[in-house]
Amino acid sequence: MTEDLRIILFLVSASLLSNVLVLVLHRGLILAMRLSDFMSPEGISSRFMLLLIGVMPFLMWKVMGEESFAVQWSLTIPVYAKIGAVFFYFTGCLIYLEILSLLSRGYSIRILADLFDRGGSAEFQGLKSSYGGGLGIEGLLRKRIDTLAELRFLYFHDDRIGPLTFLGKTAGAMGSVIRRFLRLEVVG
Amino acid sequence: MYRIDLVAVFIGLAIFLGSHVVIWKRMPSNTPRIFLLAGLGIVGIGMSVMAGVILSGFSLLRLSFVVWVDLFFVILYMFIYAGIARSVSLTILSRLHEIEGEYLEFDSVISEYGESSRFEERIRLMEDSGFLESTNGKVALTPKGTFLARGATFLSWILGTRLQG
Repeated sequence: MTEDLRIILFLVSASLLSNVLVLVLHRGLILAMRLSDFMSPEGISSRFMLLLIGVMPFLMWKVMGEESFAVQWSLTIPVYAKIGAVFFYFTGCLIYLEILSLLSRGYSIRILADLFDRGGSAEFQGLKSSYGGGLGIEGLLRKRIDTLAELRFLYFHDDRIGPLTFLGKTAGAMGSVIRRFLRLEVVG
Repeated sequence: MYRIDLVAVFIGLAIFLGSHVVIWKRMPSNTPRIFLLAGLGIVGIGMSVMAGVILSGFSLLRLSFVVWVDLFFVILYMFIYAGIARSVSLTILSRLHEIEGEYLEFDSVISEYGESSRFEERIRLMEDSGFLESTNGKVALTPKGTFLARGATFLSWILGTRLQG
């Protein structure tokens, strides 16, 4: 096996193992918090995950570095290759975050789950009014607006939505511009 | 790090984004066309690899660097695009941005959203993708839709999350 191929296999393994480690540590902590009843994992879960994702590259760098496995296996890894591996690791993190996002917030996936819970079929109006396991469109919108308020995109008080914060104005403006630019008319 | 490899990455990304914009503007559609976008991403990465070979010769390690960096930006863009194309939150922000500094009553947002065709549009898209069938006001899962619903439920259990919607 050529030197380059050995280095690539080593770096891909390091990246994938780092992704698995992030997932296991994150899930492990959440499970431990739920079982021990020490505190609710809600709210802390996403912060802990982002912390893990941010810290893991430093550990990876050590593993890829001069004093670790790479030296034991007689691999001399150029800096640019290590940087590439860190990008590959972040790609895995993005995919994991997207899957989590789709599962927890996916509008279409929830419609499919509602139908599945109802034995595979339902009247259209009933499906719409009881979307999200009974929440309905109102529940869907309230959740979204609550999250936007928590993330400081807008103000939400006494069932009054707005005004937007600076962050909200920026996101709203950019969203409108990009949707018009890409001619996306029917959106979420 | 070799700067020339970054040029190869840039070339691939430019081809990916350029072809995406051209196709979306010339052939607008109400479907998000995620698979088409992924295909353009693969083409872009391929172009990056070719540019890398032309610019700095064939080196497996350097081409891997080009692919890894390119892949990251392609996936990042697809993440962002999914939000732009389908995000309910972004729709709310854009709606508020239209009224500039004012506010909306929650009830008006519900009735506006409820009267819009967004739910119907989701059903239609899933029907076109083969996940649902709708006849005479009834909606039913196809075997493909049942498989996806089961898979999503299982995956959410594995990952410790809930299908909240």
